[in-house]
Amino acid sequence: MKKSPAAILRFHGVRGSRPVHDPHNLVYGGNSTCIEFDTGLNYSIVVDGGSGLQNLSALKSANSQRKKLHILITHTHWDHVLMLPFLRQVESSDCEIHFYAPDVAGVPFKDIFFDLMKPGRLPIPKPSIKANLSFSKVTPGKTFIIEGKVKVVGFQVNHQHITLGYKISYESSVAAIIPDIASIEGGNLLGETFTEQARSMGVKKFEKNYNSQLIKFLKDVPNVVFDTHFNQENLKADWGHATPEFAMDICAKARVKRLFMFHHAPEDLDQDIAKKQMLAQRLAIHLGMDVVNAREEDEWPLTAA
Amino acid sequence: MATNCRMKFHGVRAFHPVPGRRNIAYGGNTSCIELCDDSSHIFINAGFGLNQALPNWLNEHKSRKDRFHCAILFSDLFWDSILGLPFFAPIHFKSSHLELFSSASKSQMEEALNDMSSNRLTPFNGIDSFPSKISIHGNTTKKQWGQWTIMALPLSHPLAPYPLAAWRLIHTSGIDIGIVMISSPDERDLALIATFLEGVKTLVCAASNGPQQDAWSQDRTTFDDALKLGLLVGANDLYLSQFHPEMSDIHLQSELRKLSEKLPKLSAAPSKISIHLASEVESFISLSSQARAKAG
Repeated sequence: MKKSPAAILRFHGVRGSRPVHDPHNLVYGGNSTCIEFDTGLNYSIVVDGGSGLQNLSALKSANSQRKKLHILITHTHWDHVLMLPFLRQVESSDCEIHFYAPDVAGVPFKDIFFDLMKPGRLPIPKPSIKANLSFSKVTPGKTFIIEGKVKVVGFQVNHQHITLGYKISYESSVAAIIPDIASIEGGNLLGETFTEQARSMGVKKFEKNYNSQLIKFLKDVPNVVFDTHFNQENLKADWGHATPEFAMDICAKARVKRLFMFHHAPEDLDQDIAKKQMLAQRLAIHLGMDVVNAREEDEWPLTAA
Repeated sequence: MATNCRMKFHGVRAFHPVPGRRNIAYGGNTSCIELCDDSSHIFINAGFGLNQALPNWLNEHKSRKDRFHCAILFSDLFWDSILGLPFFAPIHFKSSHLELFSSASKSQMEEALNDMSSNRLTPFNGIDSFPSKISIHGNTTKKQWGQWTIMALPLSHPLAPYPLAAWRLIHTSGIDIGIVMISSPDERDLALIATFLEGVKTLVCAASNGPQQDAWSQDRTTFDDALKLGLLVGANDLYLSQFHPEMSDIHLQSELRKLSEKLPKLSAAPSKISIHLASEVESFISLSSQARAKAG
């Protein structure tokens, strides 16, 4: 008998930089980043709290059985945290919300979370927090376990401050999510402490070392969600984002089976994103890798390696 | 006087954006209205709708010799009215000049804009880190902008430790518009706004209640409040905007039907008011008929 997949990857928001509503992007969706790693158990795990978080079914239904939410934050740029101050669940005493995030320039995520609700900024009455909230600092490379069953490890990618990619494993299902990342080549050192590390070991050596660590982090992960915000024509490397070519190069070296192109630029309409996939698939034929666009509302059973 | 004044709704949502199919007819971007004539650009609020404005600007600005210059009037400094600013193309060019106006003080505006563009939340580092020239004008009451006279009415609100603003814009051609993007539904506040906007021909007013009464809408004007205000000021056209994120196309159409049914009961004399749901899908609305009416 065929074993059913252990977990499902569900896309609630696939846009980068900012959410956008436009009649010409309804196919891929306009919500900013939020991805659910659904184990089917009585809690929800999501990566990032962009505007897509509003589409998480556990939040939409008042009668949801899932009163426990685990939110992994990759970094705190607006497109990844926009929806957090609007979470109605914080006012519910039977809810638990656990945040996992790196510090930002030495500031704990908890402080940033509450700053989002500062009087005069939040357009709704300040929530009266009754839910059980917890905040855990994530250190790159250090594995932690959610609910005793889901293994998570973060990797610092080349983007502003400490931005984490996450690798999440549950039973035989494994996925990695690399939200915002730029190629490090040519001294494009964006991550916190990257400049200092490069200075001490030499830029070329640091770049080589970083790239091999990234490939090692993704090694044999069957499903990888990867930033492909730019294309070769409009690439601005110092903005901290990647192209499909870069994503495919890294994923091919890591022997990834399926690459989800993600963090679509807000200016890109459905036809632009579809074209990006078509071009990428043409290149991917020779790499033995499936390349698809992440699309809002899509869900993918996570196949075993 | 010939005029080419136009108005466009780029963002019709309050609170947070709601991209998606449920909102295809009216839109899902946060607060932004564009008003322009042949020589000037004014935006009311800089929610994510701002980023839908000037779609060809990036392609065209290289060939233009004149400096891009616009005014942005803020009704408030909440996230849904300011978060589009860091992503607005002209802010990233030295050749642009953005002038920002609000009823709040200059320091209150600076604090909000720095919070919004802090390096924790964006790749930038405060409002001074953008290449364009940005002039911040606090405590605005009256200002001349091209052919527009801009007036602000400061309003208090339970959610804001600074004054909000209702705006009145009068064009030399006679066009007269009132814009109330946020206000408390308190009777005294509505009376104050009605006096300030008395005689405007076009009124844009927030209708921010949700499908069910909830905490988010309790301090906001509703569809009913907006109609009441439209009748009090004697507007010909009432545009409802600043919709609650849970109000889908179907909900909005239903609210409009209900208002149309209520209208004869609310107005003693037959009313000339036309009620519209603001829509991001509609192209620019010409305001020239209003100018012609005045000339006639």
